[in-house]
Amino acid sequence: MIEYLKADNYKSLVNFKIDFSKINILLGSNGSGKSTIFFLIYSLRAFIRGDKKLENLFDFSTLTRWQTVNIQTFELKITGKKQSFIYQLEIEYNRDIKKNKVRREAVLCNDKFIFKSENGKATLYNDSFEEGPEILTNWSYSGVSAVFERNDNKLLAFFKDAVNRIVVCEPVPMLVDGSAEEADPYPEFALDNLPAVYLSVVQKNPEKLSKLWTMMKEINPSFERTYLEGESEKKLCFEYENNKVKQRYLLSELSEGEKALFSFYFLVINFMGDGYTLMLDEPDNYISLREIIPAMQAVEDATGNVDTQCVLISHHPKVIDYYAQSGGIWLSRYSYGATTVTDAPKTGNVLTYSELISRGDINEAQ
Amino acid sequence: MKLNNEYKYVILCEDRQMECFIRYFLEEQGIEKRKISNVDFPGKGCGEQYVREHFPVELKNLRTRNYNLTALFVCIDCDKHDVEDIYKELDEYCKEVKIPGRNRKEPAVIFIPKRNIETWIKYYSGELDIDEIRDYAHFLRGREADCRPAAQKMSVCFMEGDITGERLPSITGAYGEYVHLVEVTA
Repeated sequence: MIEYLKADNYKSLVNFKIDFSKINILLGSNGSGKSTIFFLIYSLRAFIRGDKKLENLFDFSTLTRWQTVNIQTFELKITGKKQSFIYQLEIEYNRDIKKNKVRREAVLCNDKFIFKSENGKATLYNDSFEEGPEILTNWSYSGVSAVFERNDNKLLAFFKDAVNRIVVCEPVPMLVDGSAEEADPYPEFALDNLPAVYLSVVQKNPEKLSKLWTMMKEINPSFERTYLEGESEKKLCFEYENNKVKQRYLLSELSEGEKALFSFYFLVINFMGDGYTLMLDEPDNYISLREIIPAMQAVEDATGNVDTQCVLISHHPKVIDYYAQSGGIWLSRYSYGATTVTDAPKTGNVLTYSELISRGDINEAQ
Repeated sequence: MKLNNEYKYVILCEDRQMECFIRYFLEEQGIEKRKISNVDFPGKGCGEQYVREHFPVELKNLRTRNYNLTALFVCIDCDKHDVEDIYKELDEYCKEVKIPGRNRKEPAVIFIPKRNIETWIKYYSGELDIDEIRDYAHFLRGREADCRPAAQKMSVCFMEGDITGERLPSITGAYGEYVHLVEVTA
């Protein structure tokens, strides 16, 4: 679970800090920095996991336009397995040779170092926070990702596990691919690997599918089940029953709205609970008005008495009114400058937030 | 004794904490998720006023639909007032827009937790030292769904008519409202 994110010199985020609670909705006008925050967390996660090289996640275009300093800094506080971790990353950019490198990277557990690297040299620590050997790190990759799990560095393994449990997604139904060759435990940013993640669920948590089917059946009573078909290339199929006749549809044959609904419930059921943080950027796109509140209630229900977190971005009035009052984080950006977090507006009247926003009575970007 | 699960239930309340509590209460009664909807919540700091002003609107809508298997479920904090004052206020708001106040033959129920919904949540979570004077507001802020066990317990108690030992008068009042709704929707 993410407690806070700090960022400096990253796009519109300058000396920026945002705190999260169990359910939040990021509110702000177009261009206020909501998706920037999501993509930054996605990038930090991918970097820590060693999924991608530094320059593929943090290129020169991510530097704040009006800043001249060459250092980007980030700090992410997360919790997992009853431990509190702080991850720090500094990236140095050389504008002359158009290269960047990891200047400093550190992980603290309960305010004590469990990993630290500076200028290509990393110090390892054991679970008693005692300094261990030094290793050389690649300036383009996270040193954390290069450290193997041992019996005496469980805390770093817990940190990596907590990072793995941050899922950032902006589901794009049009990009959702219909087949998979291999299982993939985590969704990609656009959820274009849905069948691969489905295959992973089939292998590891098949019991979750029946819950998913129950929810899908509540939406469409004709829905029966989903399954994978094929040997090497497995296609995700949907079975419906019409007048006692079973009908099979491929994922690619569903409407964008049906794909969006399935994707939404698939993510909520599989990536909420168990310490997961699910961050969804406009998951309500394509979803019919009738299904919006049940979808939001499903998120709410998934948080009850369990260790989990959900952060949403949405411009849908129903979603705004459901979550803004108690979990709204208001972002504003004046004159295309830096993104700031502002207090929730006290409206003093009985109109809903969405109505006030649509009338321009609450300035999302003040 | 149970609420009629053929009805749709529209919740008018102040915030997500109340909505969660009432929704879990209704679900425990066997009402399907998609038969429960809520009136949008207001911005921060005007929940009670919002409910008062929307009450006549929703009551009118209920009547326009000729009570077509739809019930209105209102929840508003009593705060430091008397429960009776809240009923009177809601009636006054109806008079202002020239519609009759709620009558006892229509499927509209008003829960008025005193001092607030969190009082009931704490009570049904098994806390012993609970009264209607102290303010427990927002103790579950950010964890609104954690109220589910308490809401379920209240729902079961109401179904079983098990409120004889209740120490909170506002719960006894809510039980009366519940019984009324069961009878009207039967």
